[in-house]
Amino acid sequence: MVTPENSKETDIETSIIKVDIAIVGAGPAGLAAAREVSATGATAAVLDSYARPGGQYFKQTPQTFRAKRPGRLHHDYAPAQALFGVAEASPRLTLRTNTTVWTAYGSDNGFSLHCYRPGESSLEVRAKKVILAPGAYDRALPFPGWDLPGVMTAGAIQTLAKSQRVLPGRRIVLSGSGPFLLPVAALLAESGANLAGVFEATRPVVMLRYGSAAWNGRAKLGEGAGYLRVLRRYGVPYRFGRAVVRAEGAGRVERVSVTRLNPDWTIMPGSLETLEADTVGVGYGFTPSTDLSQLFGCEHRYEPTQDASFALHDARQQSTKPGVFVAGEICGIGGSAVALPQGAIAGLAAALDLDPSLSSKSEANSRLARFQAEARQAQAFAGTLNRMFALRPGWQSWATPETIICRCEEVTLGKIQTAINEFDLKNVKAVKLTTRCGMGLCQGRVCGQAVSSFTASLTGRDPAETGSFSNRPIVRPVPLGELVQ
Amino acid sequence: MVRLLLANDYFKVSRKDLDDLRIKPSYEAAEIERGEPFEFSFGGQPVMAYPGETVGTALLAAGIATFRTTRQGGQPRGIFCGIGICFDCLVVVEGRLNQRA
Ligand SMILES: Cc1cc2nc3c(=O)[nH]c(=O)nc-3n(C[C@H](O)[C@H](O)[C@H](O)COP(=O)(O)OP(=O)(O)OC[C@H]3O[C@@H](n4cnc5c(N)ncnc54)[C@H](O)[C@@H]3O)c2cc1C
Repeated sequence: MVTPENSKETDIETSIIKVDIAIVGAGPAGLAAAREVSATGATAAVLDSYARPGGQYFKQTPQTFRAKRPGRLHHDYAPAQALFGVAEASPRLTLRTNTTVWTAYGSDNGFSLHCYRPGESSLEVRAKKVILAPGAYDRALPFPGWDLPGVMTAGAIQTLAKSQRVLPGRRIVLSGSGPFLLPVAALLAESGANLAGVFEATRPVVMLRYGSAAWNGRAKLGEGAGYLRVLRRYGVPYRFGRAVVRAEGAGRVERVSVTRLNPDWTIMPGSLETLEADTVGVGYGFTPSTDLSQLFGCEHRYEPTQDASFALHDARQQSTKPGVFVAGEICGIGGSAVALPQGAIAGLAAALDLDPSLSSKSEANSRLARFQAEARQAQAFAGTLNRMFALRPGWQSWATPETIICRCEEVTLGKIQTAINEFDLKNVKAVKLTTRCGMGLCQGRVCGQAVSSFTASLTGRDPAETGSFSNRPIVRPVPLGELVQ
Repeated sequence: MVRLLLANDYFKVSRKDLDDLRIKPSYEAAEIERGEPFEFSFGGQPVMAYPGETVGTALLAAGIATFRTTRQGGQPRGIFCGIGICFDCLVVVEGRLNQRA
């Protein structure tokens, strides 16, 4: 059973709960893991920073917004409700929202996760196994004016429209690469937004090259075609091989420059056009939230097509660290179609490891095999999409020396260039220490990828050599009071 | 491309809805009903909000895109990531510094 305890080590209170399995993240992966665990008799705690479960895919509206026709909130409404239902109904599961895991460690006795809860006592979760399902966040590439109010990520726009039911602006442009632009564009169009254009950086020739491999994902392609039909119905222009490479305005975005791109994504000379807009949504794929898996010492592998490192795992979703399971976007960008079966595998495998005499062991194993097949198929399609929409290095030419790269510490590209030349810096760590880029509150989440790429190309070295921002023992900013304990 | 460049007359003509960016009921397939609105003050300016909305939503809905200025360059910042990772949207809420809007 879940056993709440209180320990008063200092005068600040910490609640402790002990469970068999701690699950970080209540997105598709974490909820699928919880569902499987709850069927085995093991206890689990599901922890999530947000106010409501669902993660990015099953993002919910606030509880105080009542929907008369809730079925229309999400095209996958029924599966989402089934997952939420498990977390609510099982006595062996405890779901803690508004709960951010800010540090964690393992010892011989198991794992300990420290959580910060705004306005409440802090929480320590002790568990025998850990399942990490923290998801990903969307990637923006720097260009002149990307720090103006009105430029935001495509994910921010989706969150505002889908969950908060508010439009981000009066005239919107979307720019980026990958299939995620489409649902955001369709959502905006159907919400009555004035969408002036959607610009997909990838060129159609590149897409054709992967045509036959994409056939594996007919169902998902069908979903994409549905979004395109919505855009056509609302007369929203959808253009390939183009991108927003500049935003301008006094105090906020007022207009943007759209250009045609060469195959390597450098700007095609003479193709710059100006468009009136007060909002730009940018989304160039996703960056996995691997801070906790790094902290646990799990091994990661750099994936060039996605320009990011992902947690390695075996067929049972166990990372290279025994007892730490990983699922969803931190294993490779694959969307909910991959996250759901991977989460289920992790949940089953962790529970099986805890109780080898599990009464329904053979049934659990055959369930496991089914989810493994499902995950493999979804991953194959996701891999095709990732290669198709991979970033091309020419995006680096969009920024000028005045362009801010690190938004938190306001470090420009020029400052990074000067530092590298003047001090003969050889890697990202040195660039960080010299320029302060990546040292702000976001801890390098927003600029990390850009700084790595710029450092590699400015030093003429391989990204594997120049490295990335190192990880910190504190994965999320917390008030000092939490640290005092 | 031509239609793209035609400066949309939206800016000039339909100014009647300029007070609010919340999704209009006619576009709400799920027929969302918000609770009772209330008012708060942002830098001295009254802003209307519904329970469950984030500070950022209420400000954006009211047409306020700039939430703060940066420490060094004094540059305006507003909502950027929308999911709590970038810390661009920091505001002071009832005396508490550095709250994400
Ligand atoms: C903004 C955004 C919008 C997206 N929209 C779509 C969409 O419309 N359609 C689509 O197919 N895909 C979408 N995706 C892709 C999405 O990543 C996958 O579809 C899917 O949600 C991944 O599932 P997951 O369980 O791996 O991660 P997520 O769904 O991202 O869930 C991870 C959860 O972990 C929590 N978390 C992370 N770190 C911590 C921590 N330290 N402590 C506590 N909790 C933590 C987060 O709050 C989050 O709720 C979107 C992604 C993003 C970033």
